[in-house]
Amino acid sequence: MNESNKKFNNSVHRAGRISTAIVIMLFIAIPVGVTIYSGLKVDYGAILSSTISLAVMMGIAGAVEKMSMTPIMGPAAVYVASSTGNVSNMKFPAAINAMNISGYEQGTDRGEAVALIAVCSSAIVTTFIVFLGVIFLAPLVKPLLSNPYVTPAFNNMFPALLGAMATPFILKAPKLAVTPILAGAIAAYALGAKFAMFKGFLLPVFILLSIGAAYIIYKNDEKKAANVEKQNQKIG
Amino acid sequence: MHSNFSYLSNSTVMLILCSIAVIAVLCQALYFLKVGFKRGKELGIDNKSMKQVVVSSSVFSIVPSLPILISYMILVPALGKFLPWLRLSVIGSAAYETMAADMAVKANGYSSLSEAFSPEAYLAIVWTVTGAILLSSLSTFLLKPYDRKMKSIQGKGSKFMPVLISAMFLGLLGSMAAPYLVDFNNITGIFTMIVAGVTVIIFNKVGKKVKVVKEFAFAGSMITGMVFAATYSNFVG
Repeated sequence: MNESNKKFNNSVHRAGRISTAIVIMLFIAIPVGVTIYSGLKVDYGAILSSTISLAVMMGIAGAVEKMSMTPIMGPAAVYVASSTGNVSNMKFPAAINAMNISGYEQGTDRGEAVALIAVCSSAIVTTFIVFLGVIFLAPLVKPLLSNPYVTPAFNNMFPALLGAMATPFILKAPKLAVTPILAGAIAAYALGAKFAMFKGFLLPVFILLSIGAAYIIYKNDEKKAANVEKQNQKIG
Repeated sequence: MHSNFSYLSNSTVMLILCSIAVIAVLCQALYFLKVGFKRGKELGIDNKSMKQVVVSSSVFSIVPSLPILISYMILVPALGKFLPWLRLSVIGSAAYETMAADMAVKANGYSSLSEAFSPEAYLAIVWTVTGAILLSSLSTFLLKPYDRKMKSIQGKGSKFMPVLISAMFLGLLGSMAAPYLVDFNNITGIFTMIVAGVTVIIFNKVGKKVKVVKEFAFAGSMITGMVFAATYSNFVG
């Protein structure tokens, strides 16, 4: 890594960590503040026991999600996505779309820069729309979105998003795509509705399987290329 | 025990606390947007391309933001005006907030969020939705050592690294798409995925000649898929 990249990465992590710490403290200030304001007694033991299982589940899922997205869209985008939420249905697709339209590969410096711009833009737009929703928009949008003709469109928004996001990459590397998609489909079929519950634990398995299969394909392709080169040398 | 909690949920204190948190997250996004533009310039990305990314990402984000408003409307009677605003604007998601809040009211002896519950139960919800996401937020602090390790592998110039990143991405996609791929009770979802996929290929091909089409290929394909879902469900399914 050159000096300029090193300097940039250090500043990103410093700003990311400081801003995340501030945001976490402000989030914690809300229950603390409202509890003090209410003057009521809170049964912290009961809250802890009802929260811990969900917290561990969300913690594992969150950590795995962040770690798998960091090499793809860069740490800066992940810091922002982590604070702003709606990661897999908005921030991650926005980052992938940005790299796609600008023609930069995932995991490259330029790819990470446009992904960061995309995630921030997406976060700002969502915050603005939700703010408008709070002021006046939500009651106006509700009849439209709960219209029986329109409802299936929004019920199937995520499959539509996935189709649009995944297809170009599957076509670009069909051999690499087979293992993770097949593994995911088998697990989802076997687990049914419980799949969502175990997703945090399954994601690293899918990623490792995908990397393992990619490594075998990569080594095979390397061998084939070496053989072709040998044959060309013989002919030459 | 009080019978109503709205004096807490819709209080000025909640408004102030939630506003400060939303503003802080917005500032983080604005700061990093500036960082992104500066970094882009350093790397020789032209301003026009970066602005295209802003427009495309903003347009794409409008449609997925709309169902958030419905979730907001659902959560307001149970959680008041300000907490759902905060949780759905930042950090959380509709599915998580509803699940966490539901767990908290059940732990307090109520059957569902639609029941009239006490201020104590409301406080339990506020603590639960905050506490349950805390470990996930704290895991952000693992990014620095992890990213350093990944960058050092990348720096060694391994030819496998781009393949590894693609494999990680496809692993992620596999886990996201899997539940929909095998949901044979919702054939519309499977067809929608295919329609959006075919549309994005067409848009990308056209986009090679007409630049503006490529910019909106993603949002356009998603909307085409959604229109298909509505049409198919209402007229065929």
